[in-house]
Amino acid sequence: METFTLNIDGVVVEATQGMTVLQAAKKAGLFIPSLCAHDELDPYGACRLCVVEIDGVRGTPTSCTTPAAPGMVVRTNTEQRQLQRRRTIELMMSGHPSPCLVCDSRQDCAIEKAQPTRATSATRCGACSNRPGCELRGAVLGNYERDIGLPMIYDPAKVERNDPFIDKDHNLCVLCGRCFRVCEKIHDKPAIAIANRGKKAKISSEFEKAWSAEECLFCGACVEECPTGCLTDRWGKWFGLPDKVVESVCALCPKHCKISLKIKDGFVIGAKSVSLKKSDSLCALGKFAYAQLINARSRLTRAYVRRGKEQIPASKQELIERLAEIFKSADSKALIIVSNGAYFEARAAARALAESFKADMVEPGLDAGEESLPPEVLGKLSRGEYKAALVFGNYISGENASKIDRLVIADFLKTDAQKYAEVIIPTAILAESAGTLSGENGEEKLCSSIISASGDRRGLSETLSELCQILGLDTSKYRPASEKLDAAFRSPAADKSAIPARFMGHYLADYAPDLAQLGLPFSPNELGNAGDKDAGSYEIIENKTLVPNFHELKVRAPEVAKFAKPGQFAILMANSRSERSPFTIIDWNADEGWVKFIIEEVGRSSAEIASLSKGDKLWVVSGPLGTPVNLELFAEGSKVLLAGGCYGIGAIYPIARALKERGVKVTAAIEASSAYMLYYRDELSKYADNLIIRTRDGSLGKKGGNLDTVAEIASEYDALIAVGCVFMMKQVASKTPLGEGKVQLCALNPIMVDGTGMCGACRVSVAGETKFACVDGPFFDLCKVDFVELGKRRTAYKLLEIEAMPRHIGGKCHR
Amino acid sequence: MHGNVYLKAIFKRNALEKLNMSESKNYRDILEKYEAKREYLVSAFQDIQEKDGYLSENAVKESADYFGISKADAYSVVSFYAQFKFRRPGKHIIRVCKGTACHVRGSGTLLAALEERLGIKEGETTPDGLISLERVACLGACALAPAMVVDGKVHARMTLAQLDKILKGLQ
Repeated sequence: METFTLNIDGVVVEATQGMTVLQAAKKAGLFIPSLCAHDELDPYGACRLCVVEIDGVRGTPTSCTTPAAPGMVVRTNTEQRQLQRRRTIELMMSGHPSPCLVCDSRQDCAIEKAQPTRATSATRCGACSNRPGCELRGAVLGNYERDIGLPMIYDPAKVERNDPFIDKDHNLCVLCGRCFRVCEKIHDKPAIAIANRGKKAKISSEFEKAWSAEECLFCGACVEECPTGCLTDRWGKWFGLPDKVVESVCALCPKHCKISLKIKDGFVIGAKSVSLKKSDSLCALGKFAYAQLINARSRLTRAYVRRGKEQIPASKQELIERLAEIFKSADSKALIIVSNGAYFEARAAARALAESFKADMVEPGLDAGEESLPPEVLGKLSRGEYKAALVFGNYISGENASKIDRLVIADFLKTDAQKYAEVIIPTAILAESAGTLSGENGEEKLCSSIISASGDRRGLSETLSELCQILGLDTSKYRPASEKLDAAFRSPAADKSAIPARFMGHYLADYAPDLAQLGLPFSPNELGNAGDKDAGSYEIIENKTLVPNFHELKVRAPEVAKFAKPGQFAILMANSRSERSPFTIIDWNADEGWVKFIIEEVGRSSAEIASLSKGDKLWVVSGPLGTPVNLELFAEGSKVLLAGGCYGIGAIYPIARALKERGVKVTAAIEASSAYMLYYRDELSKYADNLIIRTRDGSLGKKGGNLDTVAEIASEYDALIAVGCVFMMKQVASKTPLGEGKVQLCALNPIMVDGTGMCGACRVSVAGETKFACVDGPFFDLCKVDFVELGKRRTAYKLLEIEAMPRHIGGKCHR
Repeated sequence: MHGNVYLKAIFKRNALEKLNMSESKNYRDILEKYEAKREYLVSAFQDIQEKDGYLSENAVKESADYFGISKADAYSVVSFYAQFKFRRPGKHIIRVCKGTACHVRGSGTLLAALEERLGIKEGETTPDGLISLERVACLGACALAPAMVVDGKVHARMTLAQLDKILKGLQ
């Protein structure tokens, strides 16, 4: 191949024919910012970040679309190009929620809040699941200034959840086009494209319909290639970046595709195709349902053996001994069901057992169920003619199971039939266990174990091989021959209507409910989400979305309304299985019997509450709790500064009202990341003599936060109360605003359970003393709180919190 | 109730399959005037709109099939242009001029009055399908400002009284 040299920023760079200027620079280790460029996709030139100057070339070409030529002289980073890039980025960012990128506190914040807040809408980087490893952030950070001060645009209607598996937030889209370009590369005809133009332009299918209704196959390549948080995997997005990506084999259907599994902390947190070739493209099962299935809540973990009437946890040894004994006692009246999709080793052992004990052997398909068993076997089952049976998977009903004297069930999920089992063997599946399967062309495919199986889970092949060894059976001659894929087989990767409904007899939609949107059925006895809306007794009168992620919830709770005082809170639960979480009482009316809360969506529990609508009922509204703010501390005519951020903007409202009624001069200082996140301005203005607004991106009021307001004006005040996130209160406290001897308070919101001082979960350190925020607080001396400890305690359950997220998002609880 | 969910899912799946299979050939005459090359897409869509007054889902599907591109791709091209419509237009079309001269002489009030009387916004069609309301950048009849066009007929120096009379006459 012909090589030549060109000059980039004074460096002589070698390039080969066909390379672009960007590729030549990259190869030489020179950095040119770019977003839409992708090594495996054709040049596109959409983002215009990679603009350069080339001697003898008019204008400012994009280096990703300009072929490198011998002797070219390229300048990438002149003052004019830097300015051009900054302008381009500002235009791009005016329609992308980007306040975090220009916030003066972003470095401290990244340390304080290492994990993004698990909000429903990504209104800023700090609430975006894509923050870890975000390419957009990487490309524009440091180059973004709000020079021209364009108005910030955020449209809540651009957040779309109308499709299975994929969350779409078009606010975050920068129209780099990678998604539909990768779609076109893989599938030839793209299922998505840019519809409309100008500010209405968006990635969509025809007529902006749900993708599930159209040509999209849900291979998820677009989600993988999206450089922003616009397209995300609803289930897996909060886990962050994987520790490693390992190639494996997907065993969910007979095609046995190669699959790359994303592993973090020993768990599969997602999957993707091994390449962008069409032949490697995955179906929705492999791409999205795989991780949901292997992490299903109802996985079996313990092995059980029946003693008397009880199923008792058993050791590996006991399990094998009991199995041997059951088969020996079966008296030729045994049944073995092991799917033809199981590993060869398990099938060989099962066949050896069947032969040796003259048992009926059935090898149903992975996506079959009890109805697919041969009629004579079904007949014997219903007449109770089997003395013993070994069933791998969900292939017999509870009714038939009850008629088998000695039943052994091996499975990875809980089923009805298991209560009749004498032995329950929890199995490792997919990437948890190693074994052999048929490849597409009849070759043998070895699947290795990639993650360790927890609890008593083991591959069925291991358990059965051990059993055969004890019984002196040679399994090798029963090993199934590798088979070519049936010519009639329709690949789910090419046709979404061919996605199998079941795996080992289990209905997949029960465990990955989004599959139902692709037309897959739930199991006939699946209870679905019926249990989610338990009837509590606290009716929601109104649920008003103030700004994205923030809701004003008006609830009928006469007892709470009757006793509420400013500064108090209540503990709320959406349903009987919800976590208990505290929320400040914002407003109340004893005569009408209602209370108001500001619900900020920061995780599963708050999202659950926020998803309720008028007429729904909360399971618990327990309150008022906590010590009200001591109004005696604030003398008539004195000047008090109230500083609120996030939910604190609402939380200072009842305090402002109470102080105003006492004749105190109130100034309310509020901060938000951007103009589109400010709320309660009119409400606060009713009681505050003065309202000071700061936004972190300077889109409204002065740029900055409450820390700046406090530093600037606090010395003029007699007292200060700060309410908001730990980070904001800590920042305000660091300014030691008023000096010794003055009243300066903050309201703390740690993890709480009962809210009455019993559990101790809400423990905080104030001036070296341990206090309970629920009864001693929530108000404490701002300058004496140990915020570092508080911050740590608040994140104590972060892994569990992440795990809980996907099980709720989309309004569905995953099993 | 679960049987219900189950049945719904099956129904949805069947419906999807049916949708993919049904293939009407209403636009073959128009399409076959053109070579099946991407560059003729816009021309073909113009002809279809000429015939139907808008581009239906079926029209986009059939054209995409003819030109060998995906539906999303075809929609991407035509949705770029303001001239293409994706909803059946009303029986009567009112176009209000928003050019400089008309603007100065009160076309804003005229448009607002139309929106109020018809109960729709510009770009929409009344629910009964009778009237579509559109705005145009300039009719080139500045001397007649404020002007509007109803079904191709120019109405000059519009007043609200005139407007009500015209609306009454539309059936």
